[in-house]
Parts: sequence; structure tokens; C-alpha cells
Amino acid sequence: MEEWSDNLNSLKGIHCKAEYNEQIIEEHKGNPFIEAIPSRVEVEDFYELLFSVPSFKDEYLELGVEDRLSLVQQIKPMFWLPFPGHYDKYRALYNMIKIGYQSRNPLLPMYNRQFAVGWDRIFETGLDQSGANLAGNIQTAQSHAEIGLSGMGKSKIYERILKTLFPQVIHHSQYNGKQLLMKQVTWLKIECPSGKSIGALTRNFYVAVDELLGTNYYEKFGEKGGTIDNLTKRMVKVAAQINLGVLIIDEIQNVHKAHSGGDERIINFITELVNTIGIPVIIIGTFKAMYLFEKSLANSRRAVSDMYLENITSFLEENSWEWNEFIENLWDQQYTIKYTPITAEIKHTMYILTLGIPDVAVKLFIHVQAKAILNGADEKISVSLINEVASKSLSILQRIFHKILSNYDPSYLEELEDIQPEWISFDEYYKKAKQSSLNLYKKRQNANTRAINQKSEGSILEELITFASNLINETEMAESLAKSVFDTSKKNGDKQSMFKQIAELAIGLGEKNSQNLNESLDIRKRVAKNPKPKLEEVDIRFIVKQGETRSLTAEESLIEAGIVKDCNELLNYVN
Amino acid sequence: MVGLNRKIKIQENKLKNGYGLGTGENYKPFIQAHDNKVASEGWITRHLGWKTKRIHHTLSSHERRFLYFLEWIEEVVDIREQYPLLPLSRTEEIANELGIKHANVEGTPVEMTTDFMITMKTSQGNIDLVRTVKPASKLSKRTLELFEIERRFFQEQGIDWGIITEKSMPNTLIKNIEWLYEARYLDTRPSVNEELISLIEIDLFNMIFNDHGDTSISVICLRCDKTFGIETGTSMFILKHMLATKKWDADMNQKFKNSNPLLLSKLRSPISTVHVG
Repeated sequence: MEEWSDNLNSLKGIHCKAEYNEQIIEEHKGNPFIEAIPSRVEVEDFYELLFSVPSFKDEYLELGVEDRLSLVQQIKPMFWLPFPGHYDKYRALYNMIKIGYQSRNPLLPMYNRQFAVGWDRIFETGLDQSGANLAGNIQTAQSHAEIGLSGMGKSKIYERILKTLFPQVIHHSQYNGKQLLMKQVTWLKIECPSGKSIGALTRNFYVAVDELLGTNYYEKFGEKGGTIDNLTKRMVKVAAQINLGVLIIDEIQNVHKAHSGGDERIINFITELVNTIGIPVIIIGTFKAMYLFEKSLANSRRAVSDMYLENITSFLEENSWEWNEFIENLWDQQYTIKYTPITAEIKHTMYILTLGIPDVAVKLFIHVQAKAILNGADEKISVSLINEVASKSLSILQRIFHKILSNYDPSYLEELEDIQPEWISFDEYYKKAKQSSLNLYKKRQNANTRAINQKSEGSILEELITFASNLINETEMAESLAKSVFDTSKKNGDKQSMFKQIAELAIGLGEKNSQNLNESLDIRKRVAKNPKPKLEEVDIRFIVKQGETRSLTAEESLIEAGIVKDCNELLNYVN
Repeated sequence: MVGLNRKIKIQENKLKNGYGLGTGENYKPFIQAHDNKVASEGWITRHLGWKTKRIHHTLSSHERRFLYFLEWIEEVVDIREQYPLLPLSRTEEIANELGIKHANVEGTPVEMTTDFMITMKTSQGNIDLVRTVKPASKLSKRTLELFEIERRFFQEQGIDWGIITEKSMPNTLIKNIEWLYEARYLDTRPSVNEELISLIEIDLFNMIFNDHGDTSISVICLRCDKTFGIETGTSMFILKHMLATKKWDADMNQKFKNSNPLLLSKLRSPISTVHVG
């Protein structure tokens, strides 16, 4: 897989050029969208690729308290353990994407016909009795719902699989010697905004597409008002245009019943997305979202048949293979001077206090370590220390965990979702470490830089202008370039990156003539609402206009310019 | 509004009949309903293509004539008419950049199509070219705008794009191709088959060749029909067939007519290059 460009690394997924793999399944052959999906990885490779632990070196133990506290914080983003169940999810996801593309082969007339008919009309008309849409296409997409406790890693497993094992954007240019200029977005993950309507969800969608492809859909559609029907129709159209492989809608429980018939509409919306244009959808949510499935899904099931594969993840069982594997691996990530081996008692304590929810367990472990490091001496982790930390930061959860463990009742799980555990912020540990913690926090750092920038806005801008002037001869140009970089940094970018941006822009400018300079400063200007018609010398309209001044007919001008061609000119291509 | 409804009707009918866009062997042109692409009444014609072995659709007499020309050129290996400019978002972007209104139906942007996507065999392999056919009188402001979108779209893809007007077409050649077009395939005349051709082709050739242009071909062919006792018109069909399959050669720039004599060149094996004009 070839990486598209270094500049795009900041984006979420990988961009790559299409490479076509031979397919075994007959239905998958001759479909560039399917053939461009990387081959399936075997289960061993899957573990290898997805397994992740924070870095550890013996020297780390020599470091001071503060440095080791930062290392402890790395456990949360870095520690991740694949389970056998995750491979099942990968397999399901992989098939879902491929099967979803079966009905969307850009080489088949059907695919193009749908564009010609217009998605609006297809969406409006829905499906006929045979399940075909207005263009006659029968969709193959499936949807999948993932329901579970928060902190179980529902979203994270999908994110990791998608980011690691699927390129996010595949750029097609040629297929079997024929031009095929298309972008294929294999996956897109959006979040349901809290307490908002579907409108806000579609806006999140546009933002995600724009960030990925550099398009301006948000500007075009997102700010535009309209009924929910219109908003969703537009979104469906864009999803079809970018050849979306799978759409993941996270935090689905945030859809509120109160908002414009929220629950009914969201399910209808998803069903239409899947059925009418054939884009597979995965919805992820906590148990709070169950009502969507109990009520609305039951209604729509007739239409959806057996396309919804539900997957409900509860907490891990104490004697399960997964929990033991998880806690033992986690326990290895110790940055305390003295390593505390895991015991049956520790395992049990960790389970009772966290209900086997991985996210909670990781957090508790981090806090326990931080506390042990701060306690000094041999920095030993003990059962009593774990209990002590939990009683402070997990007190509210403990009551519910206890209820669930002593008398299992699923309704307690819903109760759990409403509770935000009050974690002692990590800040406290640093403070206790009696260190100046200012420069350790990115948040602080940004706030700090912003303050400094505001104070010395003038002087930084001056520096930038001086720098830009060294690269560009025209003073005016240099000033506006420096100013635009400074403005777009929202005044919190560091100077180094601003210098870098100026350098990049200046190099780009060097290749263009000075008339176009202003345009390259800001891409947004080019897609402004009413751009002035840009007449190039080779522009047909320009050529004809120029010809008119010499009283030439349109045809005569275009013949002169070599745009109207003689039939026999074709033969020039034959040697 | 009548015009608009008609456009949408045409689109719907085409849909119902299973016509759409596509590529390769399955290529089926979709006649797009937007302001640059509606057939003038009575000009939708269908031809069994020599290159593609499928029915071609042309929307105007000019397109039809250009298609004949393309069929005659040996190096043209595929012709895709009414070829879509995909994805729609790209042509929309171009239109937006240029400040041009995109092709649309009732304000909804629709896919643009170009007249002919031509695949040619060259010594460097196959190349794609685009030619769009327009009478000089119809190069209106709006047409030029849509053409500018097309031009930029294909320029980005490195595909040569050009306009063909009626004046740039070799009339005699095209008339001649039209004259012999249907005779390419033997099944257009049930009484003729390969065996019959092999039995009389040398005699027929010699009769025309040895006449040195003194007698009209219809007379020579009738004589031949009579001599061999075959159905009237059969020899004329075989003559057309031999020319259409390029087994016989004649000066394509001299107008063929049943009532005119014809100078045949030597019998030869299928040729690789045809020189015209």
C-alpha cells in the first residue's frame, strides 16, 4: 500500500492509491471498489498488528517522579489488547464493506444510472416490491449495531481495526487500462452530538468528509437549513458520491426522543441509508440506546429483514479468559521502582472495583500507580492502596457495581450510564509532586502560548513578516502572507509551525505568476460563493471572445486554436 | 415547461428500457436530459456497431455521420457514445470555479455526458480520445460554457478533447461508408452466406475490375446475378460486403453510386491502415 502524501499524515486514516487484488468470490470480481480493499489479515497477524503497549525501558526506572508520572499517563492511550472476539468483529466488518460494494460497481451501467436519476429522487421513491430502487439496483448492504457499556472499548475496537487494517481513502486512477478517476472512502466515523437533532448529525458528517477530502460540503450543505428530510437527503447524496464503504455512527444514545421525533427518524434514516443506496452502517451506543432497538428497530425489522446483526457487549466475567488476560497484561505496565507481581487477591480486588470494564480498570491502575509513586519509599502497590484510591475516585460507581454483582439486573447497567465517575484529575498528582507542572499540559501550554501571543501579537507578526520578506520579493505579498498564516493559526500555533507554513506557501507561490498570488493564500477564497469567472488563455469562452474582436465566428476561432478539429486529425495518433 | 417535461420523459423512458451509462462491453449509453443533450426529433438512430458489436445510439445526423467515420478507421477499437463525466462532484467543482451554471434539471445538477469516448490502438498501446460533435451554428454561449467544463475535465485526465463540426467531416467518405454500412454483416441479407461469396467473389471482382469503369456497377451486378442465376441484388450486396470488410479496395473519396461505375483496386488481405482525405 503506497502512502499518498506526507502532508496528509495529520489526517485520521491513510490515503493510498488503488491496487487491485484478485478476488475468489465471483460476485467480487471485476469490481474495482472491492478489488482495492486490502486482503484480509490472518488471525495471528491481526493480534500482532493491533496489540499495543506503552514503551518501557529499564532506564525509565531511574527517572524522577514527575517523568514517571507522565509515563504512567501513557498507559491509557497506548495499552490495548486484542481479544478473540475482536477478530470476529473484523471479519464481520470486512465482509460488510465488500458485500456493500457488490451493488456499487462503477463499471456497471446501474451504478451510473443511479447518479443520472438523482439520489434525491431515488431516496424519495424508496424501494419497490423486489427491493430495487428507482434505478433498478438491488442493494447488498447490511447494518450492524454494537451495544455495550461505556468503557468496554466498543468504538475503540472499530477505530483500531479501521485505522490499522483499512486505508480510509483509496484513490483510483486506472483500472484495466481504462481511466477510472474516483475516490473511494472506505470508512467514515461520526459521532451523534449530545442532545441534538439529526441535522447536527448530518453536519458532523460533512465536517468529517471535508476534513478527509478537503471538500467544502459543510459550507455547501451544512450551513444550509431545511427540513430534516432535506438534510438527510443531501447527506445520502454525498455519501453516494464519495463511494462510502461503511459509515460508523457512534454515541447513538445521544439521539433524543424529544428532538423532532428523534428516535423514529434516526432509525428510518439509517434504514434508508442502508436500503436505498446500499451503504453499510454500524451504529454504536450504550445500553441507553437500547430503546431505539426495542421500539424502532422492531418496527423497521420487517423492511430490513435479517440485515441487522446486533451485538451486545456486557461487562467481562471475573473468571473469563479475557479478563485474566487483560489484567495480567495491564499489570506488566509498571513504572514504579519496585515491580509488584499480580496475585489472585489483586485480580479479584481489581475486578470488584471495576466490574471488569477495561476503561475503568486502566484508569484505576493508572491512579493506583501514581499514588504509589507519590507515596515514595519502594513504591509498592498493595490491595489496600487499590481500595484506598478506588474509595476516593470511584465511590459512586462502587455502589452500583456492588448491586450488579450481588444481584444481576440489566436495569442497573442503564443506571451506570448516567454516572460520570469523579476521577481525581491527574493534575492533582503533579501538584502533589510539588513540581511546576505548567509546561506538562498541552491544554495549559496552549493557554499559555495564547496569552503570550496576545501580549506580543505585534512582535510575532513582525517576525513572521520579516521571515516572509526574505522569501518573497514583494513586500505587500509577504505581509499578507504572514498575516494570513498568523490569523489561521488562531493565535495559538507555535512559531515554528507558522514559519514552516510560510515557507511552504512561499515555495508554492514561486511557481505561479503574481496575478494568482492572492488566490493561493487561502483555498477557501477559490470556492467562495460567487467566484469571478476565471478566463484562461486556453478557455474556450476566452478564445471565442478574442476571435470576435477580429470578427471571426466561434468556429473559426476554435479551429485556429486547434479545439475544433478535422476528422482526419485522429489519424495523427496512428503511427 | 413543456420542453423540460419532455426531457424528463425521455430520461424516464430510457430508464425503463434499461439504458444507462457504463464502460467496456456492457457499455450502454444513457441519453442525458440536460440542456446540451436532447435529441432533435427524428434523429435518434440505432446502428449495429462494427467495433463494439452492439447497438449505437446517435442523437443527431452529425453524430451519426461521425460514427460512420470512426467505424471506418481501423485503429479505432472502441467507441463509447454519450460518455458520462464522473464523478458529478468534479464537474460541479469545475463549474463552480469557472462561475458557470452546471447542467441541471429543475436546478438539480445532473451528470454531464460527452458525445464520443474513442479508444484507439497506437504503437504505444491504446489511448482514449474525446470528440464532441456540434454544428457550427449551435456553438452558443451556453454550449461553449458546457464545453469549457468538458475540456477542463478531460484535460485533468490527460485525455485529448476536441470539437467536430459538420465542416470538418469528410463528406464523400462518410456517404460511402453509409452506402455500404449495413453490408458488413451477412445476416442482414438471409440469402447470402460465406459459401456463396467464395463461389462468386473472384468472378464478380474480375467483371468489375476488367470493365475499367465503363459500366455502372448496378448493371454489372445485375449481369452477374443473371449469369449465376442468383437472386437479384445479391451481387450488389456482396460488392458492398467486400468493401465493408475491406477485402476489396476502392477510392473512398470518389462517390459510390449504384448508377456510377466503380474502380476496384486489387484484391488483398485485410489492411491495417486506411488513408483518407
